[in-house]
Amino acid sequence: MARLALAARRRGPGEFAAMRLATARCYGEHFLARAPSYLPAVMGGATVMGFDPDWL
Amino acid sequence: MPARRRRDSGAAPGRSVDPVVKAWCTDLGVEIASMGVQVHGGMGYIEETGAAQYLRDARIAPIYEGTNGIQANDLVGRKLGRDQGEAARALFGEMRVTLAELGGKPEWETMHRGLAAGLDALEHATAYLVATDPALAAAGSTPYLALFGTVAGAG
Repeated sequence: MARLALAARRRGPGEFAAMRLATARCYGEHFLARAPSYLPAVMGGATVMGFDPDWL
Repeated sequence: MPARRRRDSGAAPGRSVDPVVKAWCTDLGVEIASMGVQVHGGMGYIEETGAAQYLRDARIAPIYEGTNGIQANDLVGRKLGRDQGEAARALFGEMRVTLAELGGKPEWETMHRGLAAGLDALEHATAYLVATDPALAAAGSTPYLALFGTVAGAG
């Protein structure tokens, strides 16, 4: 996302570059902000493996 | 990274992220289609707008062609396990180059901060999964794929 926006900006200012920048910023604020929150779940495998299959 | 330099480096990040491309894009597709229903309110839920049809159509994609859970296990068990995360780290290096390009530009401040935090988390998670017991790594594979996709999508 950022790489595309940077490439668009290198080609010069204009509506396309502005659109790419707006899209990248929106992604950064609304999707990318979630990224670090996945880390505890990645490292929480022991919790998942702690369920006895007979409990299901 | 130019293709020739990537070949010379011996790592092939592209093949290692196949599961991420499939699973993350299809999961995001469901989320976006669901948002489409939501923004249409009650009209989105009924059939006349067609928004609900998009959501139903999108929902099959995380299931077929290898469910996204299987894709996540493939990413952690085979792709990371094959080279102990070397190809993934090569890709992270490319993302660090993008991150450096974003630095010092006010209009990129949010993206820069988010990518830096996400990349730190991704590198930390990768190091953990490579070193941990395979069963525990598999249990964390789905959130790892989500983390990978979210960060790679930005960088």
